[in-house]
Amino acid sequence: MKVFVIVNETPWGSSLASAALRFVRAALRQGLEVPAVFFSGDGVYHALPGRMSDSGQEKPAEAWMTLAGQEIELLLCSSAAARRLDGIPAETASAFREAGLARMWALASDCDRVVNF
Amino acid sequence: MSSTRIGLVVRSAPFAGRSGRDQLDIALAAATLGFEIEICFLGEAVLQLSPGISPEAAGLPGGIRGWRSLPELTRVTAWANGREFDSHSAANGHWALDLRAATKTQMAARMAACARVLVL
Repeated sequence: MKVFVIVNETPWGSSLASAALRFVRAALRQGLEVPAVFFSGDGVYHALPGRMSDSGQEKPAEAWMTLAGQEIELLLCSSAAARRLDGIPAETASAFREAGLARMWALASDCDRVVNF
Repeated sequence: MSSTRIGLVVRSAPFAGRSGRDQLDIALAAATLGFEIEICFLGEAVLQLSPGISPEAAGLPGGIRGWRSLPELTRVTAWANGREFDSHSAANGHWALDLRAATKTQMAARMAACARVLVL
């Protein structure tokens, strides 16, 4: 089964963002396929590398980047990113890339389930 | 893809943030790809469709007025409930989309019938 994940929440605004990360990890452990995670709205801030993290907490951008190495596309909504970011930071550019809403809908159509946070 | 019906659940009031166009952009993209759209506006979110709302007055983007262009692109069915919908409908009944009243149970049934649902 293919699961497409959409993250709308900012990394720091609620626990939903970390729930999304844990959901993706759990899905992979269960043998589900997660072809892509699409960050829209304030979710594009996940591509920003933080300079500090609270004790015992992982840095959001770095945590997502570890998933990029498992053949998961990390896609930033291009229009949301254009309003919020001055391009993708160099530190995370190897893992995140921009994609349009048409790509988001194509993934939503191709996957068996869509889960958004 | 052209006959697929997708559902959108819109939760944000027009003054809830600066990203007033994000939800509209997602709906417009779906419409241009040929999806039929069902939208449920929850609570104050229905005020996005009120012609009297002026986000610019609060220093916010005015993009929400683009909702009225959606039916020109695809078939749209819109639902709403809540105090704001009831009071505004009783006053003049004028919305940017052709809105229908629905209970939360009815909305859930409509969303369950869609091929995909996004909560925005």
